[in-house]
Amino acid sequence: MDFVKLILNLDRRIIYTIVALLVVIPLIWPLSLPIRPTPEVTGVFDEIDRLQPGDHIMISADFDPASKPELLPMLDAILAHCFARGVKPHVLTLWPSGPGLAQQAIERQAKKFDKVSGEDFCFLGFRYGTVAVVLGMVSSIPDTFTTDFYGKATKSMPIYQDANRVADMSYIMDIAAGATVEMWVMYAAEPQGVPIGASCTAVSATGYYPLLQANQITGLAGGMKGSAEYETLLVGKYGEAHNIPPGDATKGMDAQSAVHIFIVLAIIVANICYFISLKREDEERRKA
Amino acid sequence: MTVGEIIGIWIAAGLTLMMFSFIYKDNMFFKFGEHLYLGVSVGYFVNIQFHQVLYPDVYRALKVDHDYWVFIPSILGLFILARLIPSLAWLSRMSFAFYIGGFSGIAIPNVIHGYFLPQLSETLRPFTGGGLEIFNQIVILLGVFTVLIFFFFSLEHKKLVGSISRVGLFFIMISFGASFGYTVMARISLLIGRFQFLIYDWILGVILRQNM
Repeated sequence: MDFVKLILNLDRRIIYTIVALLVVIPLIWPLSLPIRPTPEVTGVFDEIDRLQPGDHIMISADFDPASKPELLPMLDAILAHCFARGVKPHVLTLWPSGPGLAQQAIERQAKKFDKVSGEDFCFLGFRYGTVAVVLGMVSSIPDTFTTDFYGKATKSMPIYQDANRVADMSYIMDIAAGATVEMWVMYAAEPQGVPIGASCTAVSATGYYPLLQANQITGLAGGMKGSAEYETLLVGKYGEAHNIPPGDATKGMDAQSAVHIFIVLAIIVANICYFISLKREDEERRKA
Repeated sequence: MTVGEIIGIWIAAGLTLMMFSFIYKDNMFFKFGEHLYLGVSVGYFVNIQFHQVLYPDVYRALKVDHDYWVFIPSILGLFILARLIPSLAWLSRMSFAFYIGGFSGIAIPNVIHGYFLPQLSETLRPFTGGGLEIFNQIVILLGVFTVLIFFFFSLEHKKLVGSISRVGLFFIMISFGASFGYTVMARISLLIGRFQFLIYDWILGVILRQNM
């Protein structure tokens, strides 16, 4: 069998094996390829970096385990950034399957930075209602989430004595696997005049560029690449002072690049082979 | 690492391999993992509904707080379930009418002020700034106009309208290409996430007992 026929009849399991190897090898032996932060991600980082110690930020972790590799590193990085700056995050999720991952991230970072729940941060957990929840928080966060994730009454918490509604937040960050960014923009950020940034799965990133273009969001971190860029910025500025190592997104980017190169080459080679086969068929038809 | 965590990692690793086995071919291990996932998901959501909605917002509100206003949304909620009984299905229309009416009242002004108008004003922004910014503005304007023409079906797509809609088609194709590129990246990210778990947490963390 010649090369063209071999490529066009290649068993898809061979391609799967090559992809698996291209993922596994860089994870075991990292290539440490450079990651250059884009203006989209810098737009989120700079806004959070501008916040003063004691400022409040609302972080909506609207994702579930299906988007963990793309978005959990971003939540970890943003929480680390907030704690390093002394900013107080209010973390919630509008996704029923979101609290588990958000809890992992917030407990991990709070323990590392020695932060106290109810004073330096609050993990509100999940509440049913999406738009109704956001509108409720525009009026009052402690009335919407009467208790935090651990069942403690929010009204008496020190963190809610000087900031208890969306307008009191200095920034909103939506880490979204679905279409919650538009909702946060429409029902909270625009009406209350609070700047907002977004992190989303790569699948939905193109859909949020119009919001970025219209300055309705200050920045956008799309997929694992966006998270890796944010980690790079964070480690570059605070890594040494606060002992922040590169996160899972940075570790995964070598594998991502390797597979992308393979896919691009596979598309080019397969197309060339396809056109050669068309030409051959044409020649055979003419001979016949 | 606790015994519970180790057992959890073994179960997660086993289920990951079961799901990956479909790549070779459909088999009983994949089927088992698939059905287990569905069962666990349904159980989880029923549990969440009970603990997050039914218990605090209905049972507790009525029994402990004596907030009898809760009867109204509760009954409207039960009306939606009436769709399961054909002779009473008409009751659900009341709930849907209330929901759609209320939500439209909230959504329409917010969508117009918070999304539609800012997008429109940014699209029709005056040509200011540097050369590249003006070029970007022209591209956006051209893209919006030609794509709108592409989806305008009251005129036959021939001659000038056909040429303009063809330009719109190019913009749509570029958008699909960008979305596809991002989709590939997203799927590879998920694969990387699973391999990170298998290599770092399962093989190195549990089997070889190395700290990562």
